[in-house]
Amino acid sequence: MNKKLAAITALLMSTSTFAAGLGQPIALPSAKVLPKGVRNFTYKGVITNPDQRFNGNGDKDVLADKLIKRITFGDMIAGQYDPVDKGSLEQKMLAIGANENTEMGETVGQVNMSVQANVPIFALGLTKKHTVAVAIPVTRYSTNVATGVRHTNPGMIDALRQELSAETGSPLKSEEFDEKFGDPINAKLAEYNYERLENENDTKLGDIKLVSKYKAFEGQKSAFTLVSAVTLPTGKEANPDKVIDIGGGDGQTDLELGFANDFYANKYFTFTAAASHTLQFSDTVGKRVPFTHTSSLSPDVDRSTYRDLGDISKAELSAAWNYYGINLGAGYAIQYKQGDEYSGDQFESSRYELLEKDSVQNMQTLQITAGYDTISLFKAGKFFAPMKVSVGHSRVLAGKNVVSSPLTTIDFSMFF
Amino acid sequence: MKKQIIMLSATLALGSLMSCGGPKADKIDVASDIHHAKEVSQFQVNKTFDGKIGDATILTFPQGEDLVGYSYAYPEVQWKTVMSRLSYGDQLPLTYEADASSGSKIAQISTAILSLGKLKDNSLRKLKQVQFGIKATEAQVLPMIDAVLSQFPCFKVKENKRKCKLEADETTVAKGKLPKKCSELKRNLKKFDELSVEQESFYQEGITQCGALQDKISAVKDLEEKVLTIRQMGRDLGVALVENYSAYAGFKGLVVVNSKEKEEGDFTSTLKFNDTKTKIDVFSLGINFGSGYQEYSIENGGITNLVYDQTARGTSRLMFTINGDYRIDAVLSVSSEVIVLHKSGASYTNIRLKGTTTNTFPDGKVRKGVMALQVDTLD
Repeated sequence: MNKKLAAITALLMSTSTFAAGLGQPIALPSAKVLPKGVRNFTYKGVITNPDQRFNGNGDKDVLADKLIKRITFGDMIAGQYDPVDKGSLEQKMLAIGANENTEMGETVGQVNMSVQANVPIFALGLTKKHTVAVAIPVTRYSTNVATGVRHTNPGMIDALRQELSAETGSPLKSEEFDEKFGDPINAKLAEYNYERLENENDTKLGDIKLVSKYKAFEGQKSAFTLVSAVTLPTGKEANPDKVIDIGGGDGQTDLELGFANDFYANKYFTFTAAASHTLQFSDTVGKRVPFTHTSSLSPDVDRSTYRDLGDISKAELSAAWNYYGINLGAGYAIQYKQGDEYSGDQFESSRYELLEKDSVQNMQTLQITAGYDTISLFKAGKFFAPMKVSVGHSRVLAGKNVVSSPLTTIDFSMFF
Repeated sequence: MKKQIIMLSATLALGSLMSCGGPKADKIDVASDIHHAKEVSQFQVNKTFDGKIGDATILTFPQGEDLVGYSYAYPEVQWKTVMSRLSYGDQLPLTYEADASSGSKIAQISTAILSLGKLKDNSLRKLKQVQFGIKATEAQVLPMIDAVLSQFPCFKVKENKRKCKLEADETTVAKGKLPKKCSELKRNLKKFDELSVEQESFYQEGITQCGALQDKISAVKDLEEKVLTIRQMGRDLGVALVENYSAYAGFKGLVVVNSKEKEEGDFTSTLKFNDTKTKIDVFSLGINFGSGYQEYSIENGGITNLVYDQTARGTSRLMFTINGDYRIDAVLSVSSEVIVLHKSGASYTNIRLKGTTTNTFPDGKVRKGVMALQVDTLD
């Protein structure tokens, strides 16, 4: 489940404005910079309802599917943290003639999320070639959660109750089983000292991003710009004591280096090719350290887990058409993120490696935009200020271990 | 500048409008389908309890890294003999390998100990049934034997007291002596010299009948012996395992409790309820932590934090702390077990106090354990 949330968090934090895991680009690439002394203020709104993902095989999953899970005896045994409890449950399983594949029930649940990132961006043309910008993301989200259980094997449940109470167990064990099996998700969370699953609305500051664009070359037919960006760990990280939590940021520093090359086909058409590589620096973070590969839930927290998130490589192609202020654009992006590395000294090293599962990501996206700007009108003295309004829509074509839900952006910009 | 301020304000206003109200996730309603328990095990308070504790077990499981590098092999013949009594016995490992993880060995040992506990409980039931069977058989068969024996009195011959006649006459004593056992009946045969062919045949038939009846009693007694042997074998396997792993890990894993089953030491472990079974009047355990038996009771402070209550679902619960060589915090359920002794419906009830313990050792290590106390009923 944590991985799912990590994926959601990644979605929110890994747009072109954020970094951590892979996310859909929220703007088409461009080699353009601001003229010297010109300032630009943009409000960018990003709206999504993350409910689907591409899994490690590249197939689509519903995010809430992880809450809908068959409960087999094997799952119940694997979910026991204490080996004495594992052995005890295994003995009960054998005694009632069940095996690890015997299904006892299934958990049911649903998570509905709606997320909106508000990103004010301020940019300044330092020279005619060099523009700097700062983006301050603020994430607002609403989460509704409900969980339940279906006892699909009443005969075996009664047999287990009987074995727990009358044979080698005690009636208290039978009561404990009923309590846990009546609400298995929240019972397990309580056992591991997680906060109870509840509906939630919250607003969080994200990781502030500093961007520098330097136009190294500009000719009649093309322009070439070097891009660098630093993402600062200003965002509030996801709380390790909550199973579902959307972090404002990922708590570590990133350095992005790249370029963008515009090709001017004619007065109205611009084609752009861009590529970048983001280095995600290592840090320490509070993490729940899993004890089984079947679940990321764990009672063990290492508040100083060493983490090195995988670096991200991205390549983009786009085409933009601007006809007297009317803008249409489309872009394709392909991204790859290396696997994460985790280690620590509080628990066995193999347990930290479980955190690295499904951390290699890739994503292919298609983005379209439409907008209108008054720049040409302003230059002609027909409008009082240069400004721009646009909407964008992005879809994930394919990927692995990434959220696949579509994403919509709305931009309001002004130049002064 | 004025235009710029207007535009900046307009942009901020639009941004605020965009975020007005914030995102709203759809409401959800997920229904559960829970299979409820049909019955809750209740403590039968209408019985008269024997104040003496019939049997008691207190043991500690290993924990954490206790079993790193530990290996163990059960004696194969005994293990297979005992485990063949469980439907799943052949699925339990005979050995624990040194290179396996400590956690997996702890889990396997937990499975094995609880299985041996199940066998012990099963054998108690079986023993009670067999012992009932012996009494019933004896009650039925002994009169039949007596009836057979009564047909073969030995009237001793006056001139030769080693010889007998089946009927009294002037050469014999007036009062015949009846054989008390089938073996005596058989042994007496050679004392009768003057049996007719018919009498000889009748006597032989009596011996056969008596033997057959005696065999019925012997058979149920043999069964009792077998049950006792298996029970002891299982107990020995468990004790050897616990003592072995606890010695390896450096803690005392098994303490011996004085009970009717194990009458050792000067103290008799006692548990007495008040008349309404709502309060415990006397609770005392004679425990040997390794340096001889000591009495641990409410009176001498050896047992503290005693709470006897009921859970919300009505299960009777006993919680207490034993302040011994290490601290044992126990949470036991108190329940009745009715053992059906015979198809006629005859039954026996015992009271079981069973549950888990948290054992805190002097070095600060905390390990889980199990405790079971059995109290017999007198009616």
